[in-house]
Amino acid sequence: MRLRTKLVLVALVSTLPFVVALPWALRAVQRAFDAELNSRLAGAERAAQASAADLSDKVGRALSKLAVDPAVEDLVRSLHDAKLDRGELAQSGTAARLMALMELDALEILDDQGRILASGHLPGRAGDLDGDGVELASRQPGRPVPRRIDIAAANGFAPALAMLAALPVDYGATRIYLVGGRTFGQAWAERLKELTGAAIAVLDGERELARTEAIELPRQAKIPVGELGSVVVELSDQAVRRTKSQIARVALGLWLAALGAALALAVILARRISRPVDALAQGARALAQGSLGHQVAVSSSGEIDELVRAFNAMSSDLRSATDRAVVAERVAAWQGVARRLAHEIKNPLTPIRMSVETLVAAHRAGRSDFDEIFRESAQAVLEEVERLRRIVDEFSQFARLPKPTLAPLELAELAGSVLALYSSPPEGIRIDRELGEGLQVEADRDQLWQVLINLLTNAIQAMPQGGRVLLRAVSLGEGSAALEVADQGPGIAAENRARLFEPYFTTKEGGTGLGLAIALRIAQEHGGTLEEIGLEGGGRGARFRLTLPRAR
Amino acid sequence: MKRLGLGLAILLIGASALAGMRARYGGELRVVVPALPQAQDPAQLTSSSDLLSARLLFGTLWTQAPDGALSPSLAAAVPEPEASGRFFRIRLRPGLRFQDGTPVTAREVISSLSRLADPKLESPYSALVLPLVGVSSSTGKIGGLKAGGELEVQASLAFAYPDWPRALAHPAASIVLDKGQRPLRGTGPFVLRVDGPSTVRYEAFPDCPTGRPFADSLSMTLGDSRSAGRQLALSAAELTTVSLAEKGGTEGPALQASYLALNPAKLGAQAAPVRQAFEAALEVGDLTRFFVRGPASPMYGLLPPALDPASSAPRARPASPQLPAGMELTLLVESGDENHRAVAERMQVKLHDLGLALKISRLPRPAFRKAVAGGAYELALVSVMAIPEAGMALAQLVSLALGREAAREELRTIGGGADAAARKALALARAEQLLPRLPLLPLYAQASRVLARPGVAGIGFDASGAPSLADGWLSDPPRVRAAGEKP
Repeated sequence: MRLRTKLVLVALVSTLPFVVALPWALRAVQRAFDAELNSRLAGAERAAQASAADLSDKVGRALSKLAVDPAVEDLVRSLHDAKLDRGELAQSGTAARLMALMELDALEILDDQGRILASGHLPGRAGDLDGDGVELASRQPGRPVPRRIDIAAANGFAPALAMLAALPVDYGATRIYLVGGRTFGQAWAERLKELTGAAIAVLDGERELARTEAIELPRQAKIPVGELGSVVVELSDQAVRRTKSQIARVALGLWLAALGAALALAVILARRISRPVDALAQGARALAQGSLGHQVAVSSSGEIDELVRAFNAMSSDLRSATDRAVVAERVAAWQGVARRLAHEIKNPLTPIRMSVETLVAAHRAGRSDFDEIFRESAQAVLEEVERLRRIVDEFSQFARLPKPTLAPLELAELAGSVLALYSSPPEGIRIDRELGEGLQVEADRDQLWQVLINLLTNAIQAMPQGGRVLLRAVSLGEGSAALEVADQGPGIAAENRARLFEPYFTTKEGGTGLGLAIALRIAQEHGGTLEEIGLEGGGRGARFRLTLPRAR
Repeated sequence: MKRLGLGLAILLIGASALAGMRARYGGELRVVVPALPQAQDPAQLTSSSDLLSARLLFGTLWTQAPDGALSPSLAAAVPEPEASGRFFRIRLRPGLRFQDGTPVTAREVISSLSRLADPKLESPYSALVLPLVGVSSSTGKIGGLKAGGELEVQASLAFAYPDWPRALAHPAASIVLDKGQRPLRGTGPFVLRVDGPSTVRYEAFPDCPTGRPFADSLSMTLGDSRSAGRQLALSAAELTTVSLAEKGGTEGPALQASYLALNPAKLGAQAAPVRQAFEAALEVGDLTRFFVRGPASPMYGLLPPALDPASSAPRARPASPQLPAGMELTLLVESGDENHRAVAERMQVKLHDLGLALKISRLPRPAFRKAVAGGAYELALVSVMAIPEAGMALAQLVSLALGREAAREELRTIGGGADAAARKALALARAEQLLPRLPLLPLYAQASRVLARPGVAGIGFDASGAPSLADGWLSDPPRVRAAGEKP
């Protein structure tokens, strides 16, 4: 797992305690709000009970006052004296006026038989019988009791729950009854709502007669109105839930923000730590691939900075050491070359000296066959001089090998054109080919031509009694391709294998020992290799493989 | 209030002391009315205030006294029936002029009577001209009315209807000059000067064909029972037609009849049970007594008791029918009519007890009339100013409920009676037969009552129930203040 991933995971895990603590905190908030809501509900319930009791008291007081009001006294007297027709009383609006005066919601004036003479709350009832009013006045005069009544409404009737009281009023032999009351209606509910802040509903059984507002998730307290109905006080759980939800949302937001911050921090930290480490890893790879002296250019601090500095110092030291080793090796190589060259040059010098001394001696001795000796000696000197010239030419070629001019080159095509030179191979030699198509490299055609000629010539010369030469063009994966030349000659002796590509090392009669050295150098100049890899299956013979990077 | 009522009673008693005094000209009659006249067009009057105003502004060919006697007015004489009661020759008095000076000729008489049949006006008094020949239901033109000269109108009836002249005494048959402008010009004793939202003012028309009114001017103001009583007691008004609790005053015939109209087209199969529910739930006597202000009689028959005395006799009520559960109907009421409002509320209560929800919809008069005429109602409380002739009154109702053709047939039947008594008997019999068939439930008939302060005399009523304010005079016309004098 990469360092960056590990850091991000650590950041995630570090915020988990917050997530675990959130439900606990929310439950604590819920408990606190519940307690507050229950307390408010109890207060509202007490206020509603007090308001209902007050409403009942007001009915009793209003009716008692009305019974002794001069207007009512006049009214009864007028009826008694027959000055006032019952119909006129119904039409006069007296009941409605008295009802408004006493702040009642309902008022009926009944005759002694219980017939409604006038109704303030439902004028259309005039003339009807109200036996309940008479009974109420007889049984519990002036005492308010719960009753269901109908009141006039915009669209006809509205049922209402009321506290009604009834009183008889007498003038001589004439008796009337006053039946009045106040309703637990919409206005009362609205007043109670203002007082308590709670939603108020008035129910007749299950039927809703008045309601201030519909609330969601109500928490209720019920106050019975006799056995007829009830007043319901409601407070909404909604606010508690909303607050809880808001807290949860805020906490979630905070958690997400913290998580985001932790992740961002982790990424930044990871980048600050892992970038130098990545750069060091890349540097190490570059170093391994030969880019000696590669420097890691990352600004860092602390241990990472020390590590980078140490790496860069190590890389610089390695390059210096390698440079020194190369120089030493080059010096040693040139010393070897000089030694070999001196040796090669010294070898012809001896026959030349001996031929010249022979000529001098023969000339002094006046030998008769001096001409013959002169011709042979001169021939020997010329041959050795020719040998010296060839040594110098090849060395010159080895030393002046130009930089390759790279161009796309199809290996099969190159191999085909080289093999065209061997259309008539020496007797006993058979040249086979296995040329894979599409193997393209970036190479100098002339130089590769030379390498291939060299390898084929060596292979043919290794089989004086004849045999089979196989030239192959093969792919070694996506990155490289190779040309292989295999023969069925004696192979490479183990003791010669290490010096095979050494300049001036040769096992051939008359060879300069520079052919394979030049071929190796060309391979290296192309970024490739040349090596003897032996035959497949360990058979007798040699196989050289020229490996080159493929063109991109 | 009590003191005010007592004072008013004393004043009203004092009014009788004027009897026998000689009438005096001058002064203003200030009248407090429960509703201002809305239709200054005799063909469209539907309330007692409209009737009152029509009597002030317009004149009829002849007038009818409460005892039934006809007196020529614009006509030189009440015409006698010719050709077995199928032809009448109406001769106008010469030299008659409208209030703008235009001469009154046979052409104006013909056009005034033709207006009653004009479908655009939707007059509730079209029955008045239905006996005539060639009444076009599309144009309102009447072929049976022809000018026999500048001052003679020849009326040909499609069938015998000898009582036709009696019907034409109704203010709805006033002669008007309709040049397309409003207000219409008439020949009445007063000219309309101000038609405002709270006051209507009239001035005397000195060249009135029936004679100059005693008062120089007359004003009508809106008021309720309290303000009317107070104004009379304080002499701030001379007269009122507002219903007061106090007894006394002059009362006309109860001819403003109220009905519950049921629309069979809207009620469909429920029309019969709904009617039965109303009949079962409502006791018309109680309804009239407890919910109708002013002089009124319960009406158990189709015609008002003033035309059919048997109509005041209570009848057995049917049992409550079974109505569909949750049934809801709308009752149309003309806004401003307090009696109809109270009656509607009573109906609402009583029908509620039978499980029928009654929704009351109040509309101003134009919208109400349009809805009723167009049949856009389920139930409606309608008021009819009954023509004081039994046959015509019945034809009015039949025309309202069943259409003009049915009304014409009723008139044809009734007109066939041998004499006036026989024709009336026929009309009452038909009314009895039609009672269950017409989608009209009779409720009550109202009369106008005029209360006057002391010093006001001469106020009477004609047969149509309209008070004759033009005959009223003041024994103490207020002194004209000098310039700059403070009141």
